[in-house]
Amino acid sequence: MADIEGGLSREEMIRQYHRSLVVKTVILVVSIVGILLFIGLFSLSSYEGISLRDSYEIIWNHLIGASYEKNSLFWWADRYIWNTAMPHAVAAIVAGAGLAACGVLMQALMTNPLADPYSTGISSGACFGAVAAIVVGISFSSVGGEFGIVVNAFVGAMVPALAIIVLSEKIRMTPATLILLGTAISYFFNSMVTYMMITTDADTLKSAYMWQIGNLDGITWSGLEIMVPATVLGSAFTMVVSKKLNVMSLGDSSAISLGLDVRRFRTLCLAVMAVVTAAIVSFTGILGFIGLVAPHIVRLVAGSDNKFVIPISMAFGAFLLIVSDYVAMELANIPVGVILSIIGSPLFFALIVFQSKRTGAIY
Amino acid sequence: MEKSLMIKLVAVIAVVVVVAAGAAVVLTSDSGKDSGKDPDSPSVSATGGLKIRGNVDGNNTIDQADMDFLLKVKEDPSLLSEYPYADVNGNEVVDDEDVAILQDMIDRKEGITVYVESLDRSGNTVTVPVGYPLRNVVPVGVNIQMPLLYAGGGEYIAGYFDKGYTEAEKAFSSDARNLYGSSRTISDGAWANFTKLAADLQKDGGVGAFIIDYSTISNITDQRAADLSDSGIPMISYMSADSTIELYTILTLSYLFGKDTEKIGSDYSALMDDVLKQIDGKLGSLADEDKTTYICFTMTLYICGSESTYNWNPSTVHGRPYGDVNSDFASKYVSGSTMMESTEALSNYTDVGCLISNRSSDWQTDTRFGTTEENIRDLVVTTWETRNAPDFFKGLEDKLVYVNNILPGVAKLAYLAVALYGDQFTLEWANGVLQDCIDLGLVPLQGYTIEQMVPYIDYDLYIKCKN
Repeated sequence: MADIEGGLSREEMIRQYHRSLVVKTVILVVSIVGILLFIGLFSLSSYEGISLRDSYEIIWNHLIGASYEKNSLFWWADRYIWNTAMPHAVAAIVAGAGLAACGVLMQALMTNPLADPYSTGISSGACFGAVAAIVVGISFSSVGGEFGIVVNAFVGAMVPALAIIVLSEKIRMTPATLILLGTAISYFFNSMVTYMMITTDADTLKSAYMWQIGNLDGITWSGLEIMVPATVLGSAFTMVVSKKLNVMSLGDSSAISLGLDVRRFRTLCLAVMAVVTAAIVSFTGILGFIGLVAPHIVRLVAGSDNKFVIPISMAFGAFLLIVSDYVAMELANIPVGVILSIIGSPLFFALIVFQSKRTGAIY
Repeated sequence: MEKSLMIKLVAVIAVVVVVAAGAAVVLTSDSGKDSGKDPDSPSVSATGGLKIRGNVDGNNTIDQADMDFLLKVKEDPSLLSEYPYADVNGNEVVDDEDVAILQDMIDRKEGITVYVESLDRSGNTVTVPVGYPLRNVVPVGVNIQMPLLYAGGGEYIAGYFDKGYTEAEKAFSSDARNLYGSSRTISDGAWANFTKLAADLQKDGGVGAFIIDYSTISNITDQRAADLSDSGIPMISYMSADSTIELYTILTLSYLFGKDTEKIGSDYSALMDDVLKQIDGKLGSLADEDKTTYICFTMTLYICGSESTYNWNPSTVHGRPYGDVNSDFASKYVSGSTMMESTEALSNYTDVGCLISNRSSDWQTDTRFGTTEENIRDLVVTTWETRNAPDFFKGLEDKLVYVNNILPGVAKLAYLAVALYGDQFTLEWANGVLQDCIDLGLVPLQGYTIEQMVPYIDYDLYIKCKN
């Protein structure tokens, strides 16, 4: 059979395609199995007398309505697993998947490998809202207490997002313009946050700083009632438009020549991304790194077709975050945002070096 | 650019600027707001010092006299408002059940339930049923851990979230389990450790009480409160940073821990009475304008606002908060504490009478670098010069004093009296009060000298040590 351009035979191309499919499937399966494993590990992390099997059994028994003797080890474990560990684990999965999906979306929209869900200044806006609530007690709503911080963060996140969306409808918004506007907004909000933080006492400063680092502590089922639907709908949207994102990755000119209404599509994607990211960070704080790195790691080993990159990135992002959260919990009192970078950075670094050595420059 | 676009663009910028300006206004007008850490002075009712129902006559001990009063109230229910603790079980009725419980309390019968007044999460006074004698407690927050130790309850601590003072908190039971929280935070992992402890203690009667300083109450989320409630673990909470509240914390806990510790509480109460009488005797008739004004500090450079609980102790010894005489200071420093941003922060308040720094310092025993005296010298100089403090207090050094915040409250009051009214009270007198605390047998003080506790530092001591 004749060789095809590039020196690959049809059989070799088919073999390579199958190999690539296997790699994608393996990453997906490993991530999903890893997530399920860590849900169990989460549950038993503080219960030495309970095995991994017991953990799953407690989860199952809870689902079927079984109960335990009051104050017994399994009674406490059941309460801990269902009221703390499970919301924790589900939040890690949802936030990891959502931020990774938004990362893919932003990198495709911006045709920029450094883009992430926070590139439009969402994180700075959310931070401003949260710190305003924590430090000076300003509330953007009538909601008070812990949930007041969440509402403030959400409103704060939406301010830069809406500003950019409104502007993108009215001016010629190139990816570079978007990133520069996001940078300007970030600097503005960061300056306000810095001012608030240097004028407060050490305990409040610590609370505000901890919020910025990102933490899944204290997330309850009621918090997930907002985070989960936003992420599921946003992720579903991202998957549906994956082919268009492939087109966007070619650049605005190519996308327009292929019949895509780039401006409208970008605005729509930005709106979806803003809602999903705001819904996540308002509960978790700024979980950096994951939206930037999870898509890249997946692209490095599974190619750049967004049809695959989106679901695999979501699974991998969720896996990375739940592993980091587990390690953070085991090490006690270390915020997951710190562990996320400690685990993810060397992995990302090694992959870039390995791939660059194997195939030359990768970006 | 189209005109309509320009208008919308300007509108967006205007919204952002308005939000920022609004924030700036709030920041400049109230930059020290403390996000609820200084809640509106919740208070447990003023019935005596012992916050146990059954202390009917309010004399801080449970005895036959209480029963006599209870029987009078039983006969004439209209007296209940005068003697609310006659309702021993807190069900708003005085009947035979109250008589039976009180008799058990008088007999110091073990295994009974007593009813303790405490703060709930909202700062309201509630009655909490607690098993007697109290065992297997888990304290949260140093402001309540020290009173618990002073009450002689160290050996009954089953677990703790943070232990910051190696020496002062040495009396923690050696079996107490570290639950790995931090000084002000209980993470999900730490809470899981607590629940595991609760499960492990089930065979030994479970956790007797969760004892929390009210300033850290935000750690008790709805879910955690439900955990405590559903498992039957009582939560006892007081704002124990204030010496008066610390007194009834010690009284109440020393009663709950049983016969062996009850005397500590009553002796400590008597000492507090004596010291307050001495202070009131000399200062009680002072007119407001004759009182020494003061500004409190925490963590060296943080100015305490007028609502901060740190102001309560100096007020008890007849000091006058500086905000009362300087409206500019009062409006600038309201709640919580605000870090001094510049060396000029105090420049407009030089007429203040006293600057009180509330510092916490463990008892000193480290002799690795020489004698204890040398270590104290190092500590004093280091403390004074922490974070460039001399620059911030320049020109006011002779008004600045440091009082060790983990001392027993009665000793803190004595040293504050010296700081505010040095012409009426001497340092030797305050040292005598601290020595009385040692002599009373307060466990955390045993085996240490006054010098090792570095209770009080003023400028004279600093200069003496430095040279």
